[in-house]
Amino acid sequence: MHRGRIQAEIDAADADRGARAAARRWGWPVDRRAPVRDGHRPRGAVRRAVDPDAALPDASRTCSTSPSRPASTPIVAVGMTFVILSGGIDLSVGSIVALVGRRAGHGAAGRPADAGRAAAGARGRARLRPGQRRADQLGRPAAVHRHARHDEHRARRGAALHGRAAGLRVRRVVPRARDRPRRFHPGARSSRWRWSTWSRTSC
Amino acid sequence: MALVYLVAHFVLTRTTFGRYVYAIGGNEEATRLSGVAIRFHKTMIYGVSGLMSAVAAVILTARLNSAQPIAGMMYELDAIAATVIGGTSLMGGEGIAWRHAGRRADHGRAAGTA
Repeated sequence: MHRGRIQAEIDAADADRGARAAARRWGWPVDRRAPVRDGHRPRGAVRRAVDPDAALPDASRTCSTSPSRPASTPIVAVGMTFVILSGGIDLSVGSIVALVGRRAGHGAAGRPADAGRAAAGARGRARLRPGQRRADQLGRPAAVHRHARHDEHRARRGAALHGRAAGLRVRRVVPRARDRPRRFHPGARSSRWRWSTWSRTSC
Repeated sequence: MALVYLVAHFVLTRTTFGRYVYAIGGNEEATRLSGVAIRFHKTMIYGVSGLMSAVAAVILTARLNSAQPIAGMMYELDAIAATVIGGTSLMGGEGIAWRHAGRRADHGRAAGTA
């Protein structure tokens, strides 16, 4: 159902009043500035002094809107001016806008774009989900590899024995040198590969 | 945005780099024979274009509060159209940065990005 403008203003005032009451009740900081009303503009000599659109018709707000609410197309056009002035053409503008926009979204959200991927790439292997094993691990006993602990690290080889009795330890295949864990995990009891562990558990 | 226009206007009118931009657009072969490093300056020109695209992307993401893979779709056409509307010759060598900046702003607003 269509609501009139007066009803919309009443609703907005009620919402503002409710927000102030909640702020007083819960001790939140109260915004004491006057609410910005649409259509509010200074008049007369004050307007001529402070309003950059004073010389324009009443409906125009170009000069006051452009500095505060920049558009993206004119800025792209500045770069394209350089290119076209030099006699060239640049068709990669759209892709750059998309890529940098995606990266800017990550920055606005406060987290790096490729943190996990970068960490996995530094080790030269794909990132695994908790509990997931690589293709070269599929044939190995998973008893001590499968359970991740509550330290936000995925299950990893040689991390812990998870309360198993000494006699029930499964035999583990000696990993190749490049498969051994290289990082020290502070949450693990026995995080670093030790040859003594292997020598005790092997048959 | 005004700062971008002022910097672009200063670079194009008051620096040797801006003069070389016009010269390359006017006659590339003559400019090369005059001793200007064409490849270096063209690289810098396209780098400026990419930098401006990045700035526009940040603004676009801030305005839309979202990042989308189709954010820059058909932006080449918008940028080229805005540049031509601003008076820059597609043949190169003619045009200034700040001319008809208002028209460019109106164009962006009409495209729904403002």
